[in-house]
Amino acid sequence: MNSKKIKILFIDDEVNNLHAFKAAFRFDYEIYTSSSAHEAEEWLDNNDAELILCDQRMPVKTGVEFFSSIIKKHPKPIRILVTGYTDIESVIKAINLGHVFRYINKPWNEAEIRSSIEEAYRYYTQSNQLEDKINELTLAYKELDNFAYSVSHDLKGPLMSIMGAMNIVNQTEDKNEKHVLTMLDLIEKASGQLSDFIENMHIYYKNNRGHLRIEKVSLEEIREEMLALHKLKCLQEKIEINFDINSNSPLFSTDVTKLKVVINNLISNALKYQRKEEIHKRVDIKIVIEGEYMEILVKDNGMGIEEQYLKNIFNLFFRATSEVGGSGFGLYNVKEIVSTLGGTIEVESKIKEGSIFKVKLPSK
Amino acid sequence: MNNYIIIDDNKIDLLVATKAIEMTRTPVSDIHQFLSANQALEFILSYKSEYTTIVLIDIQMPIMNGFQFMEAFETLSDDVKQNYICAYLTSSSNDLDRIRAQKFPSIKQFINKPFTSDTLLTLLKSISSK
Repeated sequence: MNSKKIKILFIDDEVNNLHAFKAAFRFDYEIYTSSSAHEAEEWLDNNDAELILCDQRMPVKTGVEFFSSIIKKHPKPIRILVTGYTDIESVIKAINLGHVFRYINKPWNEAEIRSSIEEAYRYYTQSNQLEDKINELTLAYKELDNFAYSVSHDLKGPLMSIMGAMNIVNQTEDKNEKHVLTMLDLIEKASGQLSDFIENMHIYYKNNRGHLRIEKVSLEEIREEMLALHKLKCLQEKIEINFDINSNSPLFSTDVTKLKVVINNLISNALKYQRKEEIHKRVDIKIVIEGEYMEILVKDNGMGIEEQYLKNIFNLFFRATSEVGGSGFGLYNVKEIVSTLGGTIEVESKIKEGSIFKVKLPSK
Repeated sequence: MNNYIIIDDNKIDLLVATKAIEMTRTPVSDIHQFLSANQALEFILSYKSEYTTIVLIDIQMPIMNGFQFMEAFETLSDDVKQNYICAYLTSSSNDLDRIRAQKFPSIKQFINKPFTSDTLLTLLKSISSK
């Protein structure tokens, strides 16, 4: 037997029948009863049932009329008609107008009702599962469409830049001309873009498929790795980088690889979206583990994000500026990973002053 | 003699297009590069020149994309618009983008990247023959 009881609405104008039905089945199913079609309609507006059993012969509205009147508003419940006398016409009506799943003769016996209920419920779960799956697939298909469009553009873009630059080099007779070097430099940059994009796509894919690999976190190791990774960029662009760590819980655990992707993305962004005119460019990173929680703060004094775009920055392929190149993958990946790890991410930003990204993660 | 306005959120493509224009060895007055379409639009509102300006526009760009740019451009007065010849310059191979581009009377051509001096020469030829 299912742990969850099947929810059944039983409608009959004879109150004795309602009592009898409830007495017979209330231990196995969740039974709601109603003595008129009108009352049942009201009940359905505020409640859900998985199966509805209804008597055919009732004053005001017959069972078939009742079923055909609720079918638009409440298409999901499976309908079973209970009737004392069988003429072929009402059976046909029941099937055509009321979309009745089963037809039970009165006086009913317990075994027949039970088997009808079980069968109807199986049908109910199967058809609902199917509907959910169809909705899921429709959504996934739409997403895939958008995804394919954006990805093909982002993959093709740098490649077209490379081909354009190659074309210019090829047309230049004297390969020692200065602009040949410029074009080679462009080719290198475009190749870098392409490679970053593919790397991000890989992260996107891995986060959607992969399982978590929980390990103990060493903040020292993370700091060392991150500083080494970004050292060159900081030196080249004269950005001061500070990385504070503090932990009172050596047992704090999470998926370290995913955690590093999050931290690395936030630091890369902080370094990337700097303002050229700022003399003291700086990025402050602070990671604190206190008991069961880790807090990551990444703060920069760079370009900042316009307020109207703040709500969109975590969307896939969204970009808030064309000043600096980006794929629209980074923060989306960050947000997805943070939620996979059970955490939250917040951002505060002011245009031309900088941004603060705040991530909170629980120990796993 | 022609002016050029190139709008592309990718700096590399701006440089490639500029170089390709120079390599056609056709008479060029000014080349203006823009990383974002709204900046280009602002520029056009106050730009005055005795020569025809060829506008090369990328489609997929953040904030204002190439379609939004053309929607705004088409609302300008005919006096302004007659000084410009617009063409999309895109890496999109999507047919829908091509169909959407046809909605804009000012778009004279849909050019696929990579942009080369040969494609530009073809564009210049088709303009002068009209």
